[in-house]
Amino acid sequence: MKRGVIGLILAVALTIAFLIPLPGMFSPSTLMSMTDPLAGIWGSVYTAKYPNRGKIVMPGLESDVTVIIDGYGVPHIFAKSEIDVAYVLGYLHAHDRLFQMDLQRRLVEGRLSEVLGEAAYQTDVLYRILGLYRGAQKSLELLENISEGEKASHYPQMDVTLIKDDAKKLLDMLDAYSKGVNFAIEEMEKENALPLEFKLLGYKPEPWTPLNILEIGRLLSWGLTGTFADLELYLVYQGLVGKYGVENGTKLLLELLPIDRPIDHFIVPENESCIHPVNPADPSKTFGFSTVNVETQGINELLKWIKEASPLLTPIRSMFASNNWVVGGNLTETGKPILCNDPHLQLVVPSVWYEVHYVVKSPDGEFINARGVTFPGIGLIIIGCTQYVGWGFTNVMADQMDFYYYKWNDKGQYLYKGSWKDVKTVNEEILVKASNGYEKRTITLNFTVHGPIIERKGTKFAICWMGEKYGSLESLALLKYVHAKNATEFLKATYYFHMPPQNHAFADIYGNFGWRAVGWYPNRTYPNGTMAIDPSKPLTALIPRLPINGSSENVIEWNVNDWIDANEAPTLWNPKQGYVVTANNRLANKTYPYIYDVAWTFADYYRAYRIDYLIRECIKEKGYVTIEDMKKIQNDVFYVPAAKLVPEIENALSGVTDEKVQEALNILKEWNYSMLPDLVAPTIFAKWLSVFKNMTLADEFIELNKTVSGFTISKSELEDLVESIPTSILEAYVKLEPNSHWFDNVFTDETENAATIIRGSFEKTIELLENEFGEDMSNWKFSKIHKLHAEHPFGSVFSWLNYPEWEAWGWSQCVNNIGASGKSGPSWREILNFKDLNQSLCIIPGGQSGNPFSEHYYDQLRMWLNGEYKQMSFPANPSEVEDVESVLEFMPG
Amino acid sequence: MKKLNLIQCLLVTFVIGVALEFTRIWQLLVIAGIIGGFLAKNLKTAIFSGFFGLLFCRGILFIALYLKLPSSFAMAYLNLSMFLGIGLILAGLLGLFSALIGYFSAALIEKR
Repeated sequence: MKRGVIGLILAVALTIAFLIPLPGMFSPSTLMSMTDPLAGIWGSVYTAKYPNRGKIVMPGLESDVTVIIDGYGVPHIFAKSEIDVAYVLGYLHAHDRLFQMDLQRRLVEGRLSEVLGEAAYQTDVLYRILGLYRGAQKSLELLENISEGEKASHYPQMDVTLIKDDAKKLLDMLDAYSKGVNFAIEEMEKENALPLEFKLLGYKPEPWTPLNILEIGRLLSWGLTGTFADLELYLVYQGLVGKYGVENGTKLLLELLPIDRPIDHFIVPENESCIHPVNPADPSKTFGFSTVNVETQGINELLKWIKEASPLLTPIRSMFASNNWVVGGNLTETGKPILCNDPHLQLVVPSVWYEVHYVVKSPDGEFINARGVTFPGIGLIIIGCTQYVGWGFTNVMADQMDFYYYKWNDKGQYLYKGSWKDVKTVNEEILVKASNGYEKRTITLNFTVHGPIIERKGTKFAICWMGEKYGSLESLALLKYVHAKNATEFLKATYYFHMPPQNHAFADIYGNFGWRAVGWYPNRTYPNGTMAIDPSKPLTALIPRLPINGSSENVIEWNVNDWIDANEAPTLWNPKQGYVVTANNRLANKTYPYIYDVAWTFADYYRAYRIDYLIRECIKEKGYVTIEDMKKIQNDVFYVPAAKLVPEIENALSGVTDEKVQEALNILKEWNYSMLPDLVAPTIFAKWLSVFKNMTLADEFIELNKTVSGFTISKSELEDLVESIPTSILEAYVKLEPNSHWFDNVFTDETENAATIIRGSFEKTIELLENEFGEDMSNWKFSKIHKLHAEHPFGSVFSWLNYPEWEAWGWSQCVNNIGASGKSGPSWREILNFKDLNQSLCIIPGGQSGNPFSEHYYDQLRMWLNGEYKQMSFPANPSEVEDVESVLEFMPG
Repeated sequence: MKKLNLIQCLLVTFVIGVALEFTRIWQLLVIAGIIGGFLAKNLKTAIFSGFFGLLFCRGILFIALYLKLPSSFAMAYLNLSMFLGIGLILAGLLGLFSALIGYFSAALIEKR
């Protein structure tokens, strides 16, 4: 009896321990829920595949919509209105990418720690300060105001009456898209089919809103225009000024980062002129450098914190590269333009882009047949093509962000235009996930007239970023792009694309083609209204690249009454050259008066130069280019820096008898400069370039570290700094100034030159590679150092969620620009054939689905890596879609 | 009351367990374990029928899911094999503990 009672009590206790939910992922109750066959993590497997035939009743739809999912998981939507397209696209995005969308929304809103806990708290603080969500809110208000016929206060030069109806329509589409997402969320919750990640983190997504769409847009803008490079540069500048004085320090800074580079390649060819702006600069002030000392220690701390708080979740990181080019019909085999684009972004899991094709045949005769890539969370085609016009983007590398520093008094007020001003403060709450629920923390955001303040250890800067300060209308521009019936209409629509500034390569079926550096650029002026930047005074180009003295009586600020708008942006229309190439290179020479306002930090010329060369070669050989040629160019792995510098290495090493050096040199001599996995030469050259940069430049900064009080730079910061110096500048020194003082090692008595450093760095490279891969050079294959690393946000815990780490070819600065880390590269390749758009090609590095159990999780990855493409067709009717996987009928409820 | 042998007990626990799984409230599985244990002829039968009854009950559902979408579930089971194993073992343990409740309850009732 007693034994029975004890047994019963024990059994009841153990059973209760099982049933009661306890905090933490590893309690029996949580694990039982997670592993439940019908209600646990397995539910997300159901959404891995759409049913072969499905009927979905959606309340709110205007008419029936047919969706055909093809063999790559790409939806082809056939609808009677764009509103219905938006509705269904919202559903499809959520079905395939909901977690990605939600995580990005949380990142923008500074709400990651609600689901990730303490680990994400600093990221949340940083994003609350940056205020991407405030900018999105302003964009929504701007759209609402315009739809009601009100003026756009920050864009007085814009006639908004022309876009009142478009704004109204866009707002309806944002609303429909959000409803589509929310319908999918409800369905998935009902079916217990929310994505796996939600179950692992133990939370459910909140409803999607139109504001969220614009927030995701802001994330794109931040990735392509947000940078703290001004502060990094200022740190270096302060060090140089500290040691050499203002004049010489400035000279040295400009030697390292010249405003006009000695070797360059412009988008606008020498014999062409881009359309000039109407109001050329007429500055009356001479730019003088500020010597107000901001504690570099504080900047160091600030940059360190930003680095730590910057999340790996960002889909796009600052200053990635891209290629696009368009060849006119006179130079193509088909007689019509061919347009190519491959935007280089972070390679993440799931892929950055979501491909879609849609056809709208409205009862009032409107017909749109559009295909391209969308960003999950945004229901608009961002890069793509319609039956009339196609377009592709590369980043202009525009400067839409300035930093201001001030004089502060004891009361915490800052000096602005002669009077002390209080900072505006806003308190915000951040919920941090804890073991027993949430911990509520309040943070105070401070603002000056220029923007939010970022502060560490008493060093404060106000961030003036267009994406936070003003609303913008690029979503409206994207809507207008699909309505353009020719390139002229397309060009007109670019006027509304505020940010991030993008090089638009475009073409239409009538044979017109061209380029415009689309965006709205801040016009920086003195208080009396005169422009601060003048191409005849190149030093003025430094103004937006260094923090600005916000307490100066002559404070330089953005003149919102006179933006450099898209109509004043450099443009080429059917250029004489017969083609246009852009690869984040410099836009134009100084005949374009706003060249320094628009941007300064351009990419090295190598990719643009190589694409240009290959197009010319095709034309020289055959008189035209073909689609096959375009495929080869997009996947080209020729490394121009090697072609330029290997002969210099040969010269420098002549006479060196060391066997190892000779063996390595012979490998380089026999190399055709292709960055291919089976070769050894790419490993030697890539390593050498890094060592060479370091040996050339690091000593000067180590010396600053030792001699300038208050200037500190860590080893890793130094490596980043040296790596960030453009290779083309080093190339110029090697070729044009081999005895430059930069080659002299400040810690030795001898005077080194380029040849000495090349020799030393080559020997050091061999030593390093021997240590890493052994003495046998045949083991130094490029595949050992270059692999794909596309990671899922949970990839460090569940490595199977990452894409396979296949060997990669190409390299930074190759046209096929798969970055050295393997974490960035062509995020979308499109080749548009305007003779027959159905013969266009495309591919993404991964797959359509974010569901790891889907066949479309990374079914395009191998093809992408191999330089293969899939057809980018434009079927006008459901019956014309080939390779059908599923047919979904959406009906109004 | 007639007591059941291992096979009979296992079957009872398994069938009731599968039926209860469809409620999507896994906590109700204890009922299957308790009934199985209550009817078990001895402690060993209760333990084995409880453990394997609910383990098989989950196992058969995992197989059914696989048959419904073979490629997707194969991928899921392969990559989440740890969760698959934990799910089966925990179901077995829940069956075991709840069967013990049933068995000792029956024993106490019979003693009275």
